[in-house]
Amino acid sequence: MSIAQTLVLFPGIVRAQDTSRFDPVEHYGARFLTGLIVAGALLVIYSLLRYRGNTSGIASWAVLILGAAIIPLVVSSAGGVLVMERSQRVELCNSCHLAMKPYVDDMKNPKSQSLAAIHYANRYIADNQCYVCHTAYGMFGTLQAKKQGLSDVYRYYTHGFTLPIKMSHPYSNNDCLKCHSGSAKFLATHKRDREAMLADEVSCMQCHEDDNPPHNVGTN
Amino acid sequence: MSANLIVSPGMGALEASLPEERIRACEGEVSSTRWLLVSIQIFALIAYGTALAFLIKTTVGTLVLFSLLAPVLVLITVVTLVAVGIYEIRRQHGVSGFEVYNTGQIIFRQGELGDCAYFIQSGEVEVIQHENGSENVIAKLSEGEYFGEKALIRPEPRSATTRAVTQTRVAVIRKGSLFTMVIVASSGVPRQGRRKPQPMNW
Repeated sequence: MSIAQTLVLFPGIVRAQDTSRFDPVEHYGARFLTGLIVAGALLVIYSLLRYRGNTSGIASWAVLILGAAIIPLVVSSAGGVLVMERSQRVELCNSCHLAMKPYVDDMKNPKSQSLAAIHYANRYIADNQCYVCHTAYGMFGTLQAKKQGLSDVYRYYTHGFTLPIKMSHPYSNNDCLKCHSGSAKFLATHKRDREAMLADEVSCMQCHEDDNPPHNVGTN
Repeated sequence: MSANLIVSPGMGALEASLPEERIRACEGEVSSTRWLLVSIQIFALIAYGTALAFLIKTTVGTLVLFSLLAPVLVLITVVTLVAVGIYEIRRQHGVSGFEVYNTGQIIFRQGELGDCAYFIQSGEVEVIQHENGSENVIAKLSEGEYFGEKALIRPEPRSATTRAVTQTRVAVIRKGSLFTMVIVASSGVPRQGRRKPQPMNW
């Protein structure tokens, strides 16, 4: 297998080589699941070829139950952890080509002056940039994001959206302030409106949107 | 041989002695279970495929397939496996069901390998022994009595042929189900018509 194919098929392997970004859940979880999947699929294929749906003895039942029930249950439940992890990735958002790709392209454009691009270029957010900026803080923020994500996926596949897409609710200051509110720069430069911003009465975008819109989609 | 029996080349003696409806029922049972098991194994392979696709390339499509379709398939697979397992256990160790034999129909033949006993619910059965080409009726059994019970204990050939004298309904009890047999014996017959089971020498 060439290096290019390896990069395409197993991006996790390449990511793991960057030790500063090593994620044990992703690294070991993916390998563990792959091993289980291969073992389970081989068991099922063996059962199909050897027994052809007959259950003549304990061995045939054991192979059947292991391959078709126990291992799939483990894969489904353990895979849920990876689903939660990977559903936060930029690549996942980017796979909604019609709706999201322009936003991700802008974010990754080093010449863009959008807030997303500046945050991405400077790695103010190390990973999962879409998810971090569009998810409220804490456990309920994650749950809310998953619920919204499912709704978005449904709309995407049923073409229940119109372009350009718009946010279904105003962008909350909390999504900015969960990182910025305690920073020295913010404290030094936002003395007058700080309380109003924390109370979500004055939007961050009122001042920042003119020079640095959240996304420069369709303008660059 | 009774006109109701199916006989085909290669068919064993035991199968040849079974009434048509019983053979059809058995074939149906095996076939449906078999195809169910093949189906759920294919479901499991599809679930594995979605998981592998998700691991190799995470997109919205593979994520949805893995997190929504795969659990449904796995759930169907597990429920079906449990149902088939219970069904098979009941089939192999419990009362297989009830059978009705018409007048003159053979229930089993002398010399066949048996795997079940019969409890007469209604009707009459005669026990025939073949010796030197002659046919001797050695017993007549009726409602509340049972026969073929030796097959539940020892793997020996049937020592006699049994034939329905009148239209007869029997409960079929397979190996390892003596307990079930006791339950059937104590509950399946009207109290007035019940007879004390007689030990058989055949």
